[in-house]
Amino acid sequence: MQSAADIGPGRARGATLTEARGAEATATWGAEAMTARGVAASPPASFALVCACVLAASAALAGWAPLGLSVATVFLFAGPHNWVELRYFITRLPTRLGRSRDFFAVAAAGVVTLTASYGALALVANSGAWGVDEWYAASAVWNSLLVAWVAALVVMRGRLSPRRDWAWALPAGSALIALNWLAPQMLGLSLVYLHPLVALWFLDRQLKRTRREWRRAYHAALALLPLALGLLWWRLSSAPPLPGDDAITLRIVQHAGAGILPNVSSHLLVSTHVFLETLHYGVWLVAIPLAAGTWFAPWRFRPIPLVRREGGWPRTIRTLLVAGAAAVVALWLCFLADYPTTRDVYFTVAMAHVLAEVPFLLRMI
Amino acid sequence: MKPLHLWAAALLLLLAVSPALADVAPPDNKKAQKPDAIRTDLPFSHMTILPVPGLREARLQVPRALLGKLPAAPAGVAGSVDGARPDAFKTVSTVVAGLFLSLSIVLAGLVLVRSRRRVAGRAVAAVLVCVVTAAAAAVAAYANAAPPVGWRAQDPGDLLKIAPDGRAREGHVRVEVVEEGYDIILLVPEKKWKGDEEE
Repeated sequence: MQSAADIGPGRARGATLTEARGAEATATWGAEAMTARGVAASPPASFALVCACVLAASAALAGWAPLGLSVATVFLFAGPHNWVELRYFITRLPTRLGRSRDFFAVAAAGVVTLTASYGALALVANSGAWGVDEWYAASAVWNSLLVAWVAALVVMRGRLSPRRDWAWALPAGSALIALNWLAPQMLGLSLVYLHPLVALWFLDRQLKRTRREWRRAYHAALALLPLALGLLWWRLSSAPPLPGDDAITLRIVQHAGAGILPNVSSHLLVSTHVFLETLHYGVWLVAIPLAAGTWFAPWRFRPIPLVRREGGWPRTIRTLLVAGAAAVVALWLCFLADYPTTRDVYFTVAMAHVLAEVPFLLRMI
Repeated sequence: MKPLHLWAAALLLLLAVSPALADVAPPDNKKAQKPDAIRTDLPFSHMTILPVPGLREARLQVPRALLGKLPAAPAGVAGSVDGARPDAFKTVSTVVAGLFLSLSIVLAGLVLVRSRRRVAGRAVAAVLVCVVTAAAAAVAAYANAAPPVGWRAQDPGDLLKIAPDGRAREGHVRVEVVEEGYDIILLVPEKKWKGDEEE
């Protein structure tokens, strides 16, 4: 490891600061970095090739059979990917919160409050108690709270580092809230399409920490994403709407935004959404665990700092992860019993993991 | 306050004030649609009028694919979740959006003024962003590029020749939803059917 003296006086201060700031983070990531080094290193070219093949196959399948792929991927991967995300986020949690205490407190409060209110909104919407005005106003208020929460987290994260000044999040957040009040449904829809892409950002940050040599290859493979999306949109822009008026088809088509964008082919919307979702599941279930070195034995909880280190909560974490695994099995059983209802419930509750990604991504930037 | 900060604040104020037209009456959205209006909210399709020898009744064939594009309920009806805002919500949403937009401009000014480092660079970047956004909006609004297919006037083609004298042509048709194809087809008997003729 380079010392401050080795890298000259100009960079020494920066290096010392970085080390001081990163000490807490290093403790968290160290265990997984060690495990990652233990995994046989694959050449970056192979990684890029696999990424490109998965991307092309997902796009082709999503364009050819969007409904079937949507049903299959949500059934198979929705639960497991949530468990993997939970395990990943727990691994990222530092044993001592230190200066990040307020940041994590606001993050946790936001995840709990916003998820609970989102679920309540869904219940009220299904009861039919509200007219369209009330529904629009409630959606706009919820979206505003979400944007305000994210802006607050960005500013707090910026204040934790002397190098960053992220105060721009406040005017940007206010402008976004203003736009949201003009078209509340659009912000919700953009969340549906942007959330899968966040996984790609997580993978990039993880590669930077544990598999730096793969990063360039990953970026090259990532350049194929706009190409695949462009091809999908070119081929499907004038495709007829997806056939079928059963409960599952209607839910999938509505979730992709066909009700909000009536002039866009529902085939195009569902294909785009399913393509991005498939990538999202692939990244969380395979790529990130592979990069973090946990892919071969995710059930080994020992490398998790909160389990291994003094002052952690080994019993609580183990119980939480085992209960999470049981919930995944329960979700599969519920899907088998009543797929449409379970899908509705899942996508409402899954808002928690969408929200939880925000603070952890900010911590990794 | 430094001169640069003053200039930046004045520029922001000007930018905020210039589009404000407080004394102009709001648009009357209840006015009837003009006949020359392009209804981009409606789906479009190609139509063929086909004389068919031996056909007894006129028949309008509408592809099911086109029916799927028709809105199930008008905007503003309970349960519809399309992008159009309902009327009662519009007033509130415009007020709240205006408030947050103002707050955004004020906060941007505060961030710019209170920032202690790279102020000049940030001011230039902010001005550049404003100029590029305005230029992009101007290009989108005034450029000669044709709008997307759904947004431009649909060419009526030979359908103009159906009523060259301006008189309406009318008659009864059977309406049929067909599973294949994307064109609307009006099948018309080649000649008037007489009772004693074999079909």
